[in-house]
Amino acid sequence: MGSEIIIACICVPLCGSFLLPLLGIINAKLRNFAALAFTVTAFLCAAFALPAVFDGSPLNIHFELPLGLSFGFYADVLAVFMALTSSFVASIIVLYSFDYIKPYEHQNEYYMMVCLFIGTMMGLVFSTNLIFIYIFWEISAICCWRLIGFYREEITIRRANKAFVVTVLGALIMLVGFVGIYGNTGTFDLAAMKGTHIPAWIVVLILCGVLSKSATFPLHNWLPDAGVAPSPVTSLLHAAVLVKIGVYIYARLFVNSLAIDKVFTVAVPVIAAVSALVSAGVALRENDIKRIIAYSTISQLAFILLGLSAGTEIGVLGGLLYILMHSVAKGGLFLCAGIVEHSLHTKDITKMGGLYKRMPLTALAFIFCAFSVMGIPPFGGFFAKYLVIDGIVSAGNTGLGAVFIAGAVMTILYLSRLFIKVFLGESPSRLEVKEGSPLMVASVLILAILSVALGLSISWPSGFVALIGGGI
Amino acid sequence: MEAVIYICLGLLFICGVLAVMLRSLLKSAIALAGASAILAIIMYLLGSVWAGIFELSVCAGLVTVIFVSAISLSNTDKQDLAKLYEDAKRMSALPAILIICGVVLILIAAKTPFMLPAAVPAAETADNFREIFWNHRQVDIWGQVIVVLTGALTVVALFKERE
Amino acid sequence: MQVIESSTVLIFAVPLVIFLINSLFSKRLAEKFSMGLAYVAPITQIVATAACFVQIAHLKQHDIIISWDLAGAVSMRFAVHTYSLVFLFCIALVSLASIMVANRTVPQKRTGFASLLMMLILGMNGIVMVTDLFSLYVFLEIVGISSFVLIAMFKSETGLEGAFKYLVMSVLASIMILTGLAFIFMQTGSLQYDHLEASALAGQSPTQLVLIYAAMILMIAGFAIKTGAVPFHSWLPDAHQSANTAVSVLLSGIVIKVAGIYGLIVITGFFGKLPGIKLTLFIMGTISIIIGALFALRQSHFKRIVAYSSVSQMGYILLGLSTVSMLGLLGAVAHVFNHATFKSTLFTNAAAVHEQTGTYDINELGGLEKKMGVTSFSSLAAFMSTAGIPPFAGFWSKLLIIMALWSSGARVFAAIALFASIFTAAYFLRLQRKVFFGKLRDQLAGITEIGGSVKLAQIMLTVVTIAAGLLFPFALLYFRGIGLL
Repeated sequence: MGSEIIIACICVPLCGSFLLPLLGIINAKLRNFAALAFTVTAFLCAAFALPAVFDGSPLNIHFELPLGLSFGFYADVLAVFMALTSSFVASIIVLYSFDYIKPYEHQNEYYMMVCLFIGTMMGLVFSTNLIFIYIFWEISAICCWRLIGFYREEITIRRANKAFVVTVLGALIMLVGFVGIYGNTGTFDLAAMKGTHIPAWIVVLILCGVLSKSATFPLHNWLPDAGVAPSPVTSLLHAAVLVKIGVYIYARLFVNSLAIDKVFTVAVPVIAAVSALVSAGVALRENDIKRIIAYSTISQLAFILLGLSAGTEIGVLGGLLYILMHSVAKGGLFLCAGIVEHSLHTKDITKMGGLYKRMPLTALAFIFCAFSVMGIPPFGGFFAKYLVIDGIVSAGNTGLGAVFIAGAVMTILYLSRLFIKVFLGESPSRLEVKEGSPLMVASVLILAILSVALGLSISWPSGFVALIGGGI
Repeated sequence: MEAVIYICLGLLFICGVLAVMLRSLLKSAIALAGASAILAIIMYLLGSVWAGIFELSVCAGLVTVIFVSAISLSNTDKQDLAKLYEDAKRMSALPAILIICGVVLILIAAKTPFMLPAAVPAAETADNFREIFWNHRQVDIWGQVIVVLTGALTVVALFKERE
Repeated sequence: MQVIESSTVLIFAVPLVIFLINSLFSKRLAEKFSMGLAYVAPITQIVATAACFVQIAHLKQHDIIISWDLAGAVSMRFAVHTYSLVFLFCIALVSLASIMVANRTVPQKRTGFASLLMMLILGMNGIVMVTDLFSLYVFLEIVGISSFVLIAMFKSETGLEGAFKYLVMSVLASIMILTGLAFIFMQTGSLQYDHLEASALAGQSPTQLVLIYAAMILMIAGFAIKTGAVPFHSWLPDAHQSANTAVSVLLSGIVIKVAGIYGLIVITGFFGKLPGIKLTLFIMGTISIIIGALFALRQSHFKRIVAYSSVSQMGYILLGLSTVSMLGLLGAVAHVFNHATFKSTLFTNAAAVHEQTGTYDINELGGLEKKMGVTSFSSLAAFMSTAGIPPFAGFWSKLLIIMALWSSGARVFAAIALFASIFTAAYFLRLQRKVFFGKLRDQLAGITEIGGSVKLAQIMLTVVTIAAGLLFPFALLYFRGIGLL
């Protein structure tokens, strides 16, 4: 397949999203089907890029521009890996949305923003130019803003504004860092500056953007607050895809392209450690199902950041693998939470209980995804977490390794607490609690089965990811 | 020669202050015309004959005409306006203001080394003048024409309240 | 060359002709047709400037001197730089938007509005095309007079306070500029651009340049007043509040830029290398950005928020100019263009909201997006462009300015300018939350979308904003093609 496949991968969802409102005016089912089709096309295009990538000759497109702004798209293993992960989980979430979003208003905008976001994600992972990475980064912030404010309540708008301000502020600080790189190297093009060493203050600036987008302490507060969004939105943006942008850029810039000071292999894991512990602690005490899962996301993202920043190949392998496992599993967890919330119209876990009797399939999917996040074999999450901790320990930081094992234990604790409170025990008197609609249940089951399947066939994903590791 | 210029400057100053502080709009306009006329005299004394002529004809003449017609077009009762802005305290302060500002200006003039420019001989012929204004500065001439047109439009737009 | 010459003739002749036509016909006839006739001027100007852009690309030059010699009767010299062309295009675009809004918001005195607008366009066109500082001053006066009258002529509810403040500040600025011109003339003996460029200042020590510095202080202050930069910005919000919204579109959309920023472009072009000029503009720019944004956070009148936003954006343009480099100038001019579009969009939205709901107070509005979709979307595009969020056009011009600042060594200012964008986002998020993005208030349930020319204006301006953002890389290639980058 020629390099045009990358253009298709990006442009189909990006440009197609603008057709969706028009289709929605004609026929809602047509629009829904189109949205799913665009997302699945992105996945297929990324998949078709695999043969070339495995051959060792990545696909490359280049446009020349003055001022060092020359941009292009580059499909190497890392990019295709992220594209596949994101587009697959996104497709499942779009499928889930069909039934979840049906009773609400502003559906046209919803599907348009979701599809636009997926296209933006594709553009971001394939971009080779810092400015264009920034452009796609900000477009995703716009989508996030509109989607969090979906219900148009005062509180949702305020939370959406907060998320926007925090992530955009981080991005602006990062942009200063990008301009600093331009000042040092004279270009924004990643291919042209591969291997250059960049000073620590630029790394700090770029880290601000990474930390804000990937909700790491201290810029993590917007994420639990964003739980006021519809559940598929929370799943797509705040578990599976958008929050991965920060860690992906960390991998792309500091692991794959540029050289940074050694101090960051200690400093960033420390930040990640603090983030993991603080959020795990809060998750143990929260009573809102989505907030618990959100704090869990912050904690797991810290794990991914740890793996990528540890400075060892095993750590990077683990981090990237966990991106895949976490996207699948956490996406599934939020979707399950969405089914629960859809039926019970509450997010307070003290008002729930014994739901496994009424929603057996959802409970099964939930426990599978939870096991993956907790890191229990043979689920996929276990292998990833093991590699991450192996990576940090082999870098010499046993202390941090211990901290993260503590974090992993706390993960087991709060997720078990969540499962027990929601699904097991006495069910309070409730009128009509039934299982979610077939489409929604099917979506969560697909993700749940994938969590265990990826773990059972771990050699395939880890072999894929190992191809990336050659960039250090 | 210099004394005459300084006297004219003083008169100019008085006319300017009067133009700002007089109650009646009509009297203010006439004070402004007086100031323009004195300015024209100063320009002539300093050697710019043509500048003086323009100043006299345009500012002291044309502009005053426009002012007076604008004042007459506006509908407000001028007697009431005068009563509205009547302020005995303000007018009694006028001599004091004039004296204080005059003294300050004279002090500044005495301290700083001012020099009147050497008198330029009025050697420009009529042809030379035409060449300068039409060939080199034609843009400005057209610009001035547009300014006057705009001024006329202003008067109509702002003050014409009869249909 | 033919194209450019005939374009300049058109650019001057058309507004004058329309003004004459308006004056010649009877009152009733003029009242009906003057607004429609007024459309001809900006549309002709847009076409003419577009043709000039194409011609410049062919010629691969970016500085062209035109000499008119029409049958020996009229002979003048004009200069057409690439940035003058951008200004001319903006003048036309904003005037077009203003007429479209005025069609709805100006029920009486339409002939007066149209004629004054023609004079204003003439004045602005003159400013950007003359080759002599004194001529610039003459046309600046035209702009000052006509804009004052446009603000004052509708005698709004808030009274004439805003118009009066504008008049006083404007006259003060004109006096300062004229005095500065006089000082320059005393030192260099000529005010023509080509004589000033030959740098009569070379090799003189700072003490010898006292007159020039005095002139610089006066002229920068004068032009800063006209631009509405801090600390000379106090007239801007009040003038906007007093003026009819069609006039606000003009004022913020183009007048403050042509009357103020263009003057500063000319000054920094000749005298920018003098020590102290750069630093003054840096500081003025940075303070404008921050103070404009902070004040905008506290307003509750739609137009005042947008007016303070103008103050803030002028700061960015000043920062671009302060680098005295080609990249900075390009960034500044690009931001002038972007500001012209997004600010006009915002004021057009204000007009639409006011026409349909009867109020400018954002505390009385809410959830209008449901009923006024076009207005809401165009305000969103404008807001994103102002805040510098890609892919909208405002991002690119801000990026160029930041890159120019960084390259010239003013890194701290560059960082501050970028961080301050978050304030822009903050006040616009507040505006969006209060006016569009939320639940519809009960008392607004009967509102409908505005129609006619205002809707068309919003659509047109939004299309320009989005297209400029998406196609900006091509603009960069264009600038490289004509040798500017």
